[in-house]
Amino acid sequence: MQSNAAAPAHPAGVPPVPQVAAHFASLDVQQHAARLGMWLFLATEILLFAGLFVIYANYRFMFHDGFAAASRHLDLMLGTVNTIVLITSSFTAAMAVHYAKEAKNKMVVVMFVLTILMALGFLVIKYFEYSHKFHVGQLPGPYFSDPNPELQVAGVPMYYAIYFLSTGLHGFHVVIGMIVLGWITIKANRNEFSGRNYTAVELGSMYWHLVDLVWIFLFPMLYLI
Amino acid sequence: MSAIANESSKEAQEMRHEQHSGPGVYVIIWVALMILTVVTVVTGRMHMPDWGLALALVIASVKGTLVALYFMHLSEHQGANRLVFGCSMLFVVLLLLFTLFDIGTRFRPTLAPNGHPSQWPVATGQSLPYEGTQGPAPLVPTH
Repeated sequence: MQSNAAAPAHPAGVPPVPQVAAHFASLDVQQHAARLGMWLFLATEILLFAGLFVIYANYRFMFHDGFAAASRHLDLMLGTVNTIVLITSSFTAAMAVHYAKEAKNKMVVVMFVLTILMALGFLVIKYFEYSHKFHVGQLPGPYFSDPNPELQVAGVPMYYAIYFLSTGLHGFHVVIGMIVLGWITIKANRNEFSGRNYTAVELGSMYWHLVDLVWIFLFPMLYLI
Repeated sequence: MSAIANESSKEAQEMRHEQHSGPGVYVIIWVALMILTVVTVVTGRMHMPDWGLALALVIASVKGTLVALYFMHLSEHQGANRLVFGCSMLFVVLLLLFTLFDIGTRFRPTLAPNGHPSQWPVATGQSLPYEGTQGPAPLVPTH
């Protein structure tokens, strides 16, 4: 990985030269190894969410009507806006990698600040959705208390349990992603990235794309059945 | 520089000419993702009875593939990354399929009392002792 902490103070505007660890033949190989490590980590993340997808699939098989009824009480408008916000933030994160390769650190900062702002917007919209659900009592399992007759179907409380578990875990990843991207934004602000040294930007944005990827599947599962 | 791993030297020779897509590709993918989002919302609102969720998941898979291939650069990187991603997808599918096979072929007392499907047993080719729509005889005497 880069060893910027050990590097001496560099003149402003000159990106530090990345150091290649002794056991790597070239910087390319080192970057490839970093990328592979990130993919392995993302594979574990995918399997973490897969557990929730499997819970969803099985209970939906059992409680077809309950899931359909509960799904229609989600706000499709807010869900769609959130999908668009997250896809667009994924796009700006990808653009940040492009600018990092061209050593345009100012644009990396702009792109990541936009990404973080959209992540914040996502969480604000999520907050409104959650507070509405708390208000009307559409809560998991035994806490479900919505008296609406359309929701007195077997499986509805189970649906809300899965809804809060999966969107909650996803929201947690959004928060972690914001912290990671914020840290990389600070590094970009110090002008650290260039065509030879952009691993942090690339891996950070890969994490953010995973957050987007998970939502792409959660959205139809929860909102569109 | 001290000992470089042999594998690493070999890899260095094989790693020439990696290409990276530019902003043009990102814009195209972003527009495609937006269009697919609109399509999935419109088809989702129709509430198609049987294959609505299947269609939504197909669209989601296309969107996910676009994100993985182009935003996450899987299309331009080398074998190992794709292998890792492919393996994780394979195991997600295995996990999903085998638990669904299990739940779909269970006999009724192990399932939720008011769940679906209401016709039991599910046609699996097996003969089960818990046939009929009235539900099973209680496992434990109720009196």
